[in-house]
Amino acid sequence: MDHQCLDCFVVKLNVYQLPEHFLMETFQRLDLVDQFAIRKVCPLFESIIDLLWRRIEHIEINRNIVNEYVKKSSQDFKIYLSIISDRLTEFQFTFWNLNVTNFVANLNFPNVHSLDLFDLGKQKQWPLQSFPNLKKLRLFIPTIWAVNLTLFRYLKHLNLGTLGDPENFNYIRKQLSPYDHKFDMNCIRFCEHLEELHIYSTMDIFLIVEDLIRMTNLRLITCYSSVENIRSLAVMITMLKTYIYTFMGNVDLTLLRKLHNLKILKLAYLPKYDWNHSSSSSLYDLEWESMLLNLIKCNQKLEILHIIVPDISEGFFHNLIHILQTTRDSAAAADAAATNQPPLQFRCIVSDANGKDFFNNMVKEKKEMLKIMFEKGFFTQLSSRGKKYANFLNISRGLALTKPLAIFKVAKPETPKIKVTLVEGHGIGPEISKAVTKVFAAAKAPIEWESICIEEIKDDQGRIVLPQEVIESFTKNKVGLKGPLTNVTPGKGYRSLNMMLHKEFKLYVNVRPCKNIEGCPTLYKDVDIITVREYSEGEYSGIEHEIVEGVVQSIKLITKEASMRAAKYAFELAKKYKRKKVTAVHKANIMRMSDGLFLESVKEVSQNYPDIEFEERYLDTVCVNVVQNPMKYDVLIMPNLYGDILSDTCAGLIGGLGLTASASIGDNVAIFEALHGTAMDIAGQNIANPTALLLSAVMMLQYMNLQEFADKISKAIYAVLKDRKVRTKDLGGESKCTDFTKAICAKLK
Amino acid sequence: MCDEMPNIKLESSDGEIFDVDVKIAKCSGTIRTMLEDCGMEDNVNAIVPLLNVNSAILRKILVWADHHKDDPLPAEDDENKRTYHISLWDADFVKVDQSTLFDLILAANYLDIKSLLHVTCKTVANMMEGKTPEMIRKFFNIPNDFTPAEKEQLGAENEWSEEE
Repeated sequence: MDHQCLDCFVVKLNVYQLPEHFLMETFQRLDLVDQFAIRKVCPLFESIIDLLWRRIEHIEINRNIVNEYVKKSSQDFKIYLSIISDRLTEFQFTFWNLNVTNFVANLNFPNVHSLDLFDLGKQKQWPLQSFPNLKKLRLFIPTIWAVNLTLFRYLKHLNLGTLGDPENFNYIRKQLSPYDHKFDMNCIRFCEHLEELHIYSTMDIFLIVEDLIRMTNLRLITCYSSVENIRSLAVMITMLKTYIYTFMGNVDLTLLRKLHNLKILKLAYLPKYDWNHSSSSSLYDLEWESMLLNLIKCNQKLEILHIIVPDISEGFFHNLIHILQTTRDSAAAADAAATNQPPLQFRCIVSDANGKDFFNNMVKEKKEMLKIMFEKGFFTQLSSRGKKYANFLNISRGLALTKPLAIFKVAKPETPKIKVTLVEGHGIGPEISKAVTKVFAAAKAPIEWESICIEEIKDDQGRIVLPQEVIESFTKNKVGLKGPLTNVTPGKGYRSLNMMLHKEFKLYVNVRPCKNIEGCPTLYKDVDIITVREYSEGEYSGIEHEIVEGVVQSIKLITKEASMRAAKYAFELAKKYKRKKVTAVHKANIMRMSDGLFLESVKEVSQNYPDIEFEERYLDTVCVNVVQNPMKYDVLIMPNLYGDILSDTCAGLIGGLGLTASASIGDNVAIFEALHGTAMDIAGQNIANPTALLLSAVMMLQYMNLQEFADKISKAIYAVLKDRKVRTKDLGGESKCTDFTKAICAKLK
Repeated sequence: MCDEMPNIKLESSDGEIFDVDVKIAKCSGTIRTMLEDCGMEDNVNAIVPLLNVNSAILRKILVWADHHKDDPLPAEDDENKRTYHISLWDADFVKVDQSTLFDLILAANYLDIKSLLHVTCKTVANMMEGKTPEMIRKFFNIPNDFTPAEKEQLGAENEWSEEE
């Protein structure tokens, strides 16, 4: 000590005269406790340390930090935390005490976008409100699941209980069954930007599955529940079937067959064998194998199949090759260029492979069809049979407990293209359809058009029917866009093509959003009405007859079922687009039973939507008001005939059918269409206005939850119409249809 | 090509001229840039004046450079700063009084010799480790120039630490 002090007197150069970046680098090498001390040496050191701390973007608070720093020098740690709070982007807690939570509660971390809370602490409250801009939140603590997610509007990734190891899993299970915890599932829907959701049980998401489907950005749902919830899983699968393309888990295979878009399937199959008494029974389950084969046969989009089973029979591979040959090979041979079906990637983990050698030989021959990985490393060949199974059991248990049981990859924005049926239609149909496809291509919308023609054909009994191709395409794609159609064979006894489409696909409701378009002035301003028309019955039931000569009767048919589903659709629509009021239009004072039933049904449905105002109005009142003061109405729900009249009236308010989008929707199929006629007189002259079909196509994107593209395209359309520079003849301009299309595409770039 | 290069002349702040192998001189980033960017490689008789380095320090620096002349260039990443290992020779090299050490640091900084900066950095950090603020001030002879108000703020802290 003494001679060091002596040194002090001969020192010419002092440490604080060294370059600042050198000091910073030096301090950076020091432990946090030493940094605390350095900070108190002199103002220069203090400022350098502060500068250093302000560079920190990631912090992990663990047991060591709490014991070493928080407990020993809590005030220093508090200062440290307050200095780093501004810049910090990632925060991870694996351990904490009351001091830490107090510090955090008094600070604000505006830039933290990722927060992890690991520890299974006893604390019930945690100051989550200090992190207002979180994008990723992972909570591993059931005791604080009572989190108010409405705090986090920007959340993209939410993880409620990823289970690191089986111990955690059991802890959580003991703490709370999936049915009684306090976390309010409903608040998940407030996180509009959510992309990934990891959650404890399928039961939980089952409760909100309808909300989940509506969340446009959600593309991955992972569940950790055990097999007891398989029933809810089944419901989920049927509801989500159009979206799921990856599934992992242990589940009834007949359910999975319904997932037509399945691309990746990982399965663990653990039959209930008596593991301890090695019975003479074989370890493979022929019934299960045949179900799996059936699934491969049905789900032709399957690209990756990964199974974990105790054993597989030799016959399975025989059959597998056979199926692949008949389903995939023939398709490829028939249309080699068009089908870009990748080979099935098959990965198999078994404990006792009877079929393995056979399988390997098979692979050599069929390489082009089947990409195979065969693993048995998971179950090392142990000499004792009993021991081997015990090992397998452990692994299966491990698999069941620590790995998620079900992963749903929801194929939304990142999907490869979604196929949509396109009926170009007659007359000006092909011109305006081309406008739509061009605009969609410019917007890079993930839509693949499947173009089909609709012509009237007669079946063998001379009745006019829809071509089989049309029915197949709509049934398969579920969504379609349709231009105007004409009927070649007019007259008695024939239904129009439009009618046939509606009947065939049970399109029970017709929707038209009528909103003023800037740049296209009409007599009315501020019109913003959505009309919802019951489309399947009422006066248009088609039941008419002559009683005696000169007296005919037509039957107006109203059913509770049809009225309820139309009403439900109207309210759901109002909810989705945040509308305030739904008005039921009726004549129940005259038609007490029929309109009475309709009105009763709508009233009944309205009670489920307390946030939306409901009113009922007579048809004549609405007719007067809608042409005097259209602002009075928001969403209109009405039976067929009134709907026919009023939806055209509303279209007239905003500039006619040429500017109005329309959709006819059923449970399985939705068709978006232009309402205007085929305009044979101007067909082929390139002067038609494609706006109605374009806006219908935008509506289609909204229906498909491709909101981002819908917004982009509608913005471009409205911008061009507002400019008034490029517009078609019907709007008083001189431009061609193709010029109008080009102008919209230009706005999209 | 480098091996056939002639020596280069370095001039210290107190006017002493050092005849140095170009390869050794190139340990210094500053000299390396000078030679490569300013086209001085052709000029055999050029004398490089080093105005911030005295002869005693420059001599020591050249010892370092000679020892490390075959080292690969240090990687740019900052990942392993904390674990940077000091070899015995290096540790011995920096075992000097504070004044010389700081002179070495300034020279290494001026000449841009990364390896020497790393080692001295670690050395200074070791000197500071595990000391109270008062011990650090005493050890490095740093005046306590906090204002009384700041001092008070800093002094209040220990009363806090026992709270749960």
